[in-house]
Amino acid sequence: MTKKTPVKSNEARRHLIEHAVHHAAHLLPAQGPITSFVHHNTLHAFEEQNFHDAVREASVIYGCEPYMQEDHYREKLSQRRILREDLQVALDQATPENVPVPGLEGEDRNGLRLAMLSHSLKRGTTQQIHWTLTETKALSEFGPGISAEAIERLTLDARRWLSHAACQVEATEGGASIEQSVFKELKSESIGWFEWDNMDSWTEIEWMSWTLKLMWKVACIGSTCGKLEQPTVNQTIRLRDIIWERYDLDTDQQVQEALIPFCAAYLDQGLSHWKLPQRDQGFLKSFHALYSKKPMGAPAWMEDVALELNRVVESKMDPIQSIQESLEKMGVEPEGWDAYVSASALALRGWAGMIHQVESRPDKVTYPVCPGSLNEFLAVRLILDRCAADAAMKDLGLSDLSLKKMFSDYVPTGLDRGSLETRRAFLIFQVAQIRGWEPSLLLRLSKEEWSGLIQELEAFNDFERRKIFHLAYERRFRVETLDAVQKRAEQSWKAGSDQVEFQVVCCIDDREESFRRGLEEKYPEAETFGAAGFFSVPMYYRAITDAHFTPLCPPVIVPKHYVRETASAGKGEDHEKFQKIRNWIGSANHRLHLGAQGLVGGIITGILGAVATAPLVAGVMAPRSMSRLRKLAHSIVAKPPTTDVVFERTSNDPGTKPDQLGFKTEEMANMVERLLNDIGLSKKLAPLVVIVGHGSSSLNNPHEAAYDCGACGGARGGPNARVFALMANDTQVRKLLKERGIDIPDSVWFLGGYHNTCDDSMTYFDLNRAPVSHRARVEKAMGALDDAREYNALERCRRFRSAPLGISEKKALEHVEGRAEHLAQPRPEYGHSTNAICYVGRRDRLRGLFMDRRAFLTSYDPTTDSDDAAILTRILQAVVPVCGGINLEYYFSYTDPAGWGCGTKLPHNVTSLLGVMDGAGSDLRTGLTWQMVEIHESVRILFIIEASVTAMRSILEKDPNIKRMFNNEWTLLSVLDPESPAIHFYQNGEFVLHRSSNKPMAQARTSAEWIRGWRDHLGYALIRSGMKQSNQTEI
Amino acid sequence: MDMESLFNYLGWIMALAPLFLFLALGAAALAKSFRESWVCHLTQWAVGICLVACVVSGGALIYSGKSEMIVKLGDWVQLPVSGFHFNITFIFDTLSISFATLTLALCGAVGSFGRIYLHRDPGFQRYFLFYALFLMGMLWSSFSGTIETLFIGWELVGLSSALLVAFFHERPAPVRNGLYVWVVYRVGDAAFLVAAVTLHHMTGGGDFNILMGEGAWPNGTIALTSNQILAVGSLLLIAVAAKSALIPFSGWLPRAMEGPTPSSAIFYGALSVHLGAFLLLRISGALDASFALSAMVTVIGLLTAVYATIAIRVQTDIKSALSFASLTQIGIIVAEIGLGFRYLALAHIIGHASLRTLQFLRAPTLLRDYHEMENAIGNHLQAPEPRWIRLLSPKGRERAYRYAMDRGHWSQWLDTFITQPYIKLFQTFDRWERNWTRLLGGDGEANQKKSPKDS
Repeated sequence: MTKKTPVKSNEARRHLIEHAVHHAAHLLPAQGPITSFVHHNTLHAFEEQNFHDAVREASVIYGCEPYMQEDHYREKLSQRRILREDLQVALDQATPENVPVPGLEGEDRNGLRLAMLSHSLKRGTTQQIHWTLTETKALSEFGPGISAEAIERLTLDARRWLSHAACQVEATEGGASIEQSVFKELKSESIGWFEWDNMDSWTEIEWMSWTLKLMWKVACIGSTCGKLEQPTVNQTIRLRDIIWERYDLDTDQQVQEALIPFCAAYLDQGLSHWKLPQRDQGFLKSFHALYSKKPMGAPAWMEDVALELNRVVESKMDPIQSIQESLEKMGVEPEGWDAYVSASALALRGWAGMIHQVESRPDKVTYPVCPGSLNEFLAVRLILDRCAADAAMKDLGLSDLSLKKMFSDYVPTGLDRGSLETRRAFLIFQVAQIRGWEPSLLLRLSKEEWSGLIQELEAFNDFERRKIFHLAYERRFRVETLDAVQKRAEQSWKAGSDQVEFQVVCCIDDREESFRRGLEEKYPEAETFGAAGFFSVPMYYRAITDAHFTPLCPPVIVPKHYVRETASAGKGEDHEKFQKIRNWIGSANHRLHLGAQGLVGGIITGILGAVATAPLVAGVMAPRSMSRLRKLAHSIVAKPPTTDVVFERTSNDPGTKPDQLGFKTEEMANMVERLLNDIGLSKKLAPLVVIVGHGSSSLNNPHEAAYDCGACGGARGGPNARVFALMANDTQVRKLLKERGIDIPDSVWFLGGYHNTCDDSMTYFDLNRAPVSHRARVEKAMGALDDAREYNALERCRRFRSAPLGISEKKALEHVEGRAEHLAQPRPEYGHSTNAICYVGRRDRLRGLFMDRRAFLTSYDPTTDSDDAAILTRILQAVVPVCGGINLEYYFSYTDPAGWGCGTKLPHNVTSLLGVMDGAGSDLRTGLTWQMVEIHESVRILFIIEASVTAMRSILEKDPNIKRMFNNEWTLLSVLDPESPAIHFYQNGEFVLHRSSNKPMAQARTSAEWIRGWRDHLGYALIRSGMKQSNQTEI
Repeated sequence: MDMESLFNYLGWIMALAPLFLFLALGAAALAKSFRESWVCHLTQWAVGICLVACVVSGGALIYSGKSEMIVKLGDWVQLPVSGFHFNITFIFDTLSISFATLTLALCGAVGSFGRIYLHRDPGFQRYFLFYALFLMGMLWSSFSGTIETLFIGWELVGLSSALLVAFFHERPAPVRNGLYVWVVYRVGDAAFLVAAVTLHHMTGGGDFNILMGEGAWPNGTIALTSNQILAVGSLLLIAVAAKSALIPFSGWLPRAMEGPTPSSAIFYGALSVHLGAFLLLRISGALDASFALSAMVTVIGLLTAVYATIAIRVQTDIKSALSFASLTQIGIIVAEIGLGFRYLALAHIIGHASLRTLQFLRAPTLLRDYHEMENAIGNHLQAPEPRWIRLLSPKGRERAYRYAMDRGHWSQWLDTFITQPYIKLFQTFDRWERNWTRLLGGDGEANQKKSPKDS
């Protein structure tokens, strides 16, 4: 990326800047407006690299954590969430060639590393280390966890050494061996501390203390051996960082005070009443319009900004030239441009990222911005940066010091030889205690041996330790999961009823796992399936109450078709009346909203405002009753009419005009065929098939869309289910499908439904179209789904600390309903928290396995797939990026909540109608809120795919995107053999056979029994209810 | 039980219940053992008891037919020779009871809100500790019958507000802004303190009836000369301006939006900012007696309202928009008081505080509200550009926009004309002292580290 040869030509320099800006744009967060929240891998820009390399690099660039803190893992170790066996395996895999440590007998690399992991080693700056040595008992007591035997051995050794060295010194006056100098130094340092002459009378405690002092001294001497890593200047350092480090002055603060409000105004989607002047002319022109003159009262450095801006605009410099000029004026060498531009963009990454998102996806916002805005933003930012730096230097009386010089002279503090050696010595000192290395032994080491030892210790740095911990952490989970899946697959269990009465197709979402399991347990005659929640119906949809069309499909697809909901025949008049009343209420509401902020309107609303206490108190005290009251009032004022969906197109081209809405019969047949084939349903349809989309609604929640269906691009999937059911019921479509070999008999009826995952309510569409023959069956299925959602609420409540542990199903449902309606509730639901697995295969093979809402469940039948696994390929093309994206976003937001995630939502402040800030004015916050992820476990998603190894291998060869995710270890892969319970785990490009442990599998009668009284993550169990042994009666 | 002792009891209850709450929560914090449910129950009880006491006092006042009751909660200092006294007195009258009822109703609602909103937050207990402090400050201020009682309450409100702004102290911005709020408050408090001392100097006591006049609110007449009133009144006006974010102290209000949403709602949207207006109502007798003072109040109020209504047009985040909306109304309320509409102003305070609390608490739901309104209207929402903007030339518009975006440069003015000279002055003193030390003690010890720059 950087070139070593000096860059001369202007052309080449320009090219460098363009590349730098492009690179910076690539690094910026890719989150769009939060009104339609799309989960994606936070480090999408790094997917070309291996996961661990990527997090190492990204943690430096973004200043965020790559893994969780070491103490977090160590706590898991003590809770047996990680076993020592896992650490051992992780170490062995990381360094297969275990080498002995030179000079220390019986000491090898992995043993040393394991010890360093098991004990909490203190680390810190030189000052912290000195403080620890002088103010704590570090030099008088051994650290925790060191055995009495080791202490005794070390003390004895020190004692022997002392008597020996003392004799030697007395024998040879003026000698210069290391041992002698150590002895002398210690003796002179310890004057007055205890009596040197009568060592015989020293107490045990005094001996211990002396031993430690000796060990510290030895460590200090040893630490001077060995190479010191040349301190590398952090590539991402900016001028501001240097001024901040040297003079305690933060120029970013001034810059951001101007830049944040301006960015917000530039991107505003209609919150403020007054449009930014010259907004349509682009970022630079608009900024220039406001800042070309310093008004009275503005801070003095704005004068320079105005001058610079005028010069840039008047000389018609383009943003790239301006960026180049700023970099040169600040004295950044061309090889550092790339890093500097990235660092400048990332200093305000939320806003810069949003500018980039809005300029590149103008279709996603109401008020788009000019292309090229990001370049102009960077140009302005660098002008502000250097003007603020100039002003700061002037304030400090250092105006003669040029910025150029400051930058070239910079040496980071804390990287000098002395402090590096102190840190190294402290590390040796602690490890020597843990490993029981006798001081005499260490004193005998040669320089080379010391150097080797130091290298050994330092190679296992903070990052490496956390990486090993993390691998062990993930391994424990993986082993337990694969064991459970294998054991379930070994059982000859099947559904408790041979007759399938109805089938339910849900989204693959992990939140539907418990919903489906609850249904299957109570109704053995039901079967469930999982498919991506847009049910292969990509469309723009506009509900009867909507103002605009919304895309309902995964974000990678751009839909071609438009579908609208309209009033049913004969209900047009009702609809008009309803629409009029809504319109009136909406306008009144809007006027009230504006008026309350104005001068005159504010007086009136202000004086009458006491009325507001009523809804306030009611909303806080009794949210459920309040919401019922609101719904009642709505239904009295205006009842929405029954509706139909226009889904059959008459004209040839799709569009938004009435005759262009909907699909052609052939297109419908394609979609129905695709879904039925994908989930393996085309040959075994039950008389009733319920298609269930999902979404989530909650109050007072800017991140509401982040809880919606990911396969619908952060929107609600009800309409997709409805349209799919209508299409599958269509006789024309069925006729066409029959020609293609998919026979949907007349006795089969499809019903569309919608599951709200927040209040666990179910809605059904077009019930009035149900054939008379199916009414009883439909009612039974609805009753069954009611039971399932009640159970689902119970399983969710076990995670909410504000719900009592012994809550009943009825109360649980009330509890989740209350959460959805509560104005003060920051965690209406936990979204995808705890997701960790994605199963692609037949449900029969895992039915009856308790998976704790942690698994995405995709239905796929390998027995119906073609030889080249065409169906599996297309399933994985959708499922791997979607589930991987969700999982990785949760991974990063949990691992560093304030860095990758957007922190606690309590101070969030909705800005420009497209994002949130922290409090009064901060960077735009991207990622997930802490309240959303707090119960998550950061593990990479484990795919369990029911396919043969050869089939999977061919897919990996065929599809580079899938291959990248698995080979670079962003997502983990295992395959379950379709014919036997054998599982292969994909590791370093090989499929390795998984061997499950002999531990018997936990069993429970029902899931409700298994979860009772437990809040935390819960292990796997076989649930007997609703299942039976093959050829036997129900157990 | 006669009226006198009933009110005495009520006064003690309202003075001590929040104090007890504060001490209990503080003790739990020191012992590092608390449960969310205990904190909530204690808070509910304290607010509930006070609310009952407040309603009873209102009923009793109407029943007794009196227009005010004054209760002495101890005579702390009494110097018969010079006529100096210092006592804590509670006044029960229309003003104090209605303001206290408002306080308790809103605090109660926000307390229940916070119970769920802050659930599992590491600062849960700290939040309610500051809340107790705030409640105590508000009640003491509402019922205060002497300027020193008011000062105690006033200080507690200021302290708890600043601490709540800096609630998320792991990030620098809240701490910086909390400090900013605190410093502005201190300026106002200094003026307040000088006013209290002056009043004591002139009359020997700090009882409000000197400023309010004999006779119940709002019909008091005054015993001071108009110059004396103007002097004390102007000082108090500075205190009022700082507390209510009037010009030129307006800069702190939008910066205060750093705490958790409910604290922004109650402290800056609803109660804390109205405290200044409340003080003006308390001393309305003085305003009646001095035309110059009421003219000043009216002008400051109107200027603030105009300034805020310009600034709000360009705000792009909901909390800043709401804070400027609040400021507009506070300006108008202050102007109303200056013009003599006392009951109107009181009604305006109560209504406005309730409305803003609701709006602030609902602030995170803005996106959904906009979406719903858009769907109901069937098109993108169009906020009409204010008419006066169209009167400006394009250049004028740009300048007005910049003015609004920079929030009128008030913070910068304060910095240039008060903070910087202040720091310079003390740096000069520092230099003199250093030189003097050097002169006396020789060069050796004088070469000490420069004192840290205060900002």
